[in-house]
Amino acid sequence: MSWKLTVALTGVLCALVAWARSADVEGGTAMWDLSRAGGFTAYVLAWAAVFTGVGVDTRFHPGVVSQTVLYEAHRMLATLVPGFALVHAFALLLDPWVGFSVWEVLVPFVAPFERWWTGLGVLALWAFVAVLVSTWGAGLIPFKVWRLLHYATYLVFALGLLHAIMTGSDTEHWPTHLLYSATVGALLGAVFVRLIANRWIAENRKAPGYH
Amino acid sequence: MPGHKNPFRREKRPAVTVLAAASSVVLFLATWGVVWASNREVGAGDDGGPPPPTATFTAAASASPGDSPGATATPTRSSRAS
Repeated sequence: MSWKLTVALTGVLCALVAWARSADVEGGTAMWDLSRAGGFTAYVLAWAAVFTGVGVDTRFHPGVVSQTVLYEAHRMLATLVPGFALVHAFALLLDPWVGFSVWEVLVPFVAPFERWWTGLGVLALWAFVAVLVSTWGAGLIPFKVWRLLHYATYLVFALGLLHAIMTGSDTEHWPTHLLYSATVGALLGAVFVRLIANRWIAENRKAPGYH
Repeated sequence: MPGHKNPFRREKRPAVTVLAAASSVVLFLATWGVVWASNREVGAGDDGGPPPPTATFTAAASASPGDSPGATATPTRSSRAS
């Protein structure tokens, strides 16, 4: 259901973008605004997917949320990321000022706007899709390969963040600073807890009386 | 690896799936609203009027007169108003 829902949502939101373009909502700035909204949403979803992924891997949830719910949230949040990244790209395609082509939106490092930093965003999208595909086919590839690809998500998230910082026109604003600082701080904290918690679990599992 | 069991078979929780999707749409629309409002704030100026239509991106308009026909300026981040 998650993929069908994501495809349907992406279609509806792209239709909204196309409508905003044809109706000339906001007097010409709608495409850039919708692209920013799509980019921010994709970033937050990517962060939430990685964050909940660390939670799933930590296997230590003191009464907050069950492992199953956390895993379902992780899976769905990750599935939604490419959808909103496509909305972000679709709005750029229709932006009368930027003038991206389909080729420039889908192929890294060929865009006319901030070529290298925009290219990182395209690269991050494709890498994220690769991680999702590897999870679909997790039964067909060796576990170690899947795990390596999944760990690469940290790098993919960092690429997306770099893209956001270097190409976003909101980077200089304090709410954006707050968002990036809070998300990166929370993620680093979660990774730290995961390392500590898993070591603690491993050590106590060996201890007498541990169930 | 034929016969290898997918380790991610899961118990389905459609409520979580729907909740995550609905939250993402709310987040998207709310962000659009905030961005739209911030545009009006920046573009309004002292007279309280609407933002200028070209506030978003002005690089194309800034191409120098000597440029060959069809040439476009390379847009930069600093050329955009927030």
